[in-house]
Amino acid sequence: MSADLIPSLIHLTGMLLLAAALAIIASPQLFACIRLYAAHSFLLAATTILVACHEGVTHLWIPALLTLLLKVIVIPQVFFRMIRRLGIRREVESYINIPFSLILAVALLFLSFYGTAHLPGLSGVEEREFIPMAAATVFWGMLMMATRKKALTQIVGLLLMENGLFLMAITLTSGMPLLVELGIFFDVLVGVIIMGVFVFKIRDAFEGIDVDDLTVLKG
Amino acid sequence: MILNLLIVPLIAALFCQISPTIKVNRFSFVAGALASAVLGWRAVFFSSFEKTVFAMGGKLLMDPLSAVFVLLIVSVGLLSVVYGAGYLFREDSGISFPKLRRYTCFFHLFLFTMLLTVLSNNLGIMWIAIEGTTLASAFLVNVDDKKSSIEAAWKYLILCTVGIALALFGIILVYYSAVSGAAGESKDSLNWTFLLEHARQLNPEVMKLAFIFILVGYGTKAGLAPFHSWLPDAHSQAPSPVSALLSGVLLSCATLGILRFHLLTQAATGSLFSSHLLVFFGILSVAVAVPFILEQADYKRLFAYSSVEHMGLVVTGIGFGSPLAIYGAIFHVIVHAFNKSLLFFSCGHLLYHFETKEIKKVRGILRTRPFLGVIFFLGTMAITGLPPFGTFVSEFMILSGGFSAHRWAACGILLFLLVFIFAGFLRHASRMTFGESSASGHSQKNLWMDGVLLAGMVLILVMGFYLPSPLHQLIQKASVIAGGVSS
Repeated sequence: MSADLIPSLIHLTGMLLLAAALAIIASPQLFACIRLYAAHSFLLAATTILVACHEGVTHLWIPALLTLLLKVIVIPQVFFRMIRRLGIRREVESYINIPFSLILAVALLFLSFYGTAHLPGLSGVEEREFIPMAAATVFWGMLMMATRKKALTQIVGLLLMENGLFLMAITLTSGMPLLVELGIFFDVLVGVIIMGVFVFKIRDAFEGIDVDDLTVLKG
Repeated sequence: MILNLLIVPLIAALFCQISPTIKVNRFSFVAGALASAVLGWRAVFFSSFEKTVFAMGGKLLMDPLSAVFVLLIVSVGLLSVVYGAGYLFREDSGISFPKLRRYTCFFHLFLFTMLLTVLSNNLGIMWIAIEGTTLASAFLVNVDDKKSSIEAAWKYLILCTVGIALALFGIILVYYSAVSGAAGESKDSLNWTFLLEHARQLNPEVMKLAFIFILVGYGTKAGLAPFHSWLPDAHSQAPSPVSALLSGVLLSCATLGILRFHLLTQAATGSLFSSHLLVFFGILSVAVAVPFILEQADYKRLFAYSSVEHMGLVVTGIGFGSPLAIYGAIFHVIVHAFNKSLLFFSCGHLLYHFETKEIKKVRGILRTRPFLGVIFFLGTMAITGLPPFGTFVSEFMILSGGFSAHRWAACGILLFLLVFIFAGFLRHASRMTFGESSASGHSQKNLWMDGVLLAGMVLILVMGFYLPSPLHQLIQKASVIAGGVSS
């Protein structure tokens, strides 16, 4: 096994992560969107393990395994069950159409490469490459939250943002301290559960989960 | 000491959740808050703060700055709990027992997360706690499952979670600049005290970028304009005791997060970069609040926008950076917490007696409910900064601190805006208080609720001209910390 196999694998997973995130934005079906999120999380776990091997940071294994368990298996299953119980249409509905969201996404990618290009204090190719990628993932998550109509797709956008932040933490600093990492996982899980409860409440009160019905409060 | 303070609300939450009858529930709700308050007061006033107290291997700390916030959380928490014990537990409230149980449980969890926020030294734990406050209070904003409450709670959840995600981005950058810099990687790398000691070794450019993300992130939670859009919705839809806590304490806790990062950035860059940003967003918040206060139709939203204004004032005071302005800002946090919670409590009374949130349908409070009328009018005048109340003193300090720091333009704009806000409040409050009465709702009195109103009124009046010396010393020490290394 050559010495630079792991770094090049990290590059590969990085590219795949970017592709998976774009695919989430591009997918017109709710189910596909969630499967792609699971794939994105799987790649994230793979990147984490590669970084753990490369840098010899053993405590990264725990967040990696938790990512596999929670974001690849548990959270997608929660989503699938919610979609079935909600009995909603399976298409992703958006204020702007998908080609246009992709154009915006690419623009945001350029913006994050441009914005971080002159940041001093960043050394190493990995950091120069992963910071803009992580930032772009965060922006894409925000894009999804801003433009999608369904409450469920907004949650997916939030999770995408969180994945971007996680990617940044592991590539930039080999992960945050373990206690903090665990706390963030806990918050994400509780957050998804509470938002799930609210999705049902919205469905019961507004007879649908389109957030553009939420216009009672003004001024 | 710190751990006791954190465990009590958790135990109270557990007891509230498992209580079998409504009476036991109410008892554990109030007893838990009382126990937290007694522990909190003891921790704040019976420790000398000659040196900062740490717990959990330095991850938690209690310095004078966090002591001020502990004092607020437990005191306003106790007032809100007692008020809630009258307001939500009355027979005709229409809230079922399971919902009350959920409410009381989450209320104590909310208190726990806020205490954890102000007591954490580790910036990551502080982030987790602030995200926790959002999650714990979402169910408090929506108690009655009405359309408008669900909408408010959803917006609150989504906007604050996005904001806080951006703050995490900033924290990762701070951690990066600590780990990659000369300070090196250690288990303390994310501790605020450690970072402040090694601030010179942090990369200034990265810290500036991090501060922008933190300001946007925690600023969302603190209700700074233009990230405040969740705030009026959540504050107007939540039950009054929850609005009191959200507005009086939660916003300030998020401001403490901004303050801690501001001190780090100031020390690392040695420039006024973060101060200028704070002054800018502070004044912007005050300015944004003005039109909404002048032309407001809903009295709870009126006070919600007033919170945007007051958080703006606090942040501006911190940004001015002179010792007097910082003392004023911290004092303002305290008086605002008591004054604004008093006003939201009286909103609870108004809703109970008049059964409407519309300003134009509430007329002549003084005629039928003299007690409420007097307190509502005086409380509203107090929040605009009229003497002899506490807010007058603190706003005066912030402004004269600003003048002594030669921020003429900023202070001038602030004074100008404050006049408009005063005019808006005077118009709304005098129309609501005087004239023919339009009361239609309930008329019986509730001792719990009236007692809280009286206590709050006495507190804000007394703070206008008399500050007990332990409290003065506490604020003094806190403002030395908040002044940073430069002053």
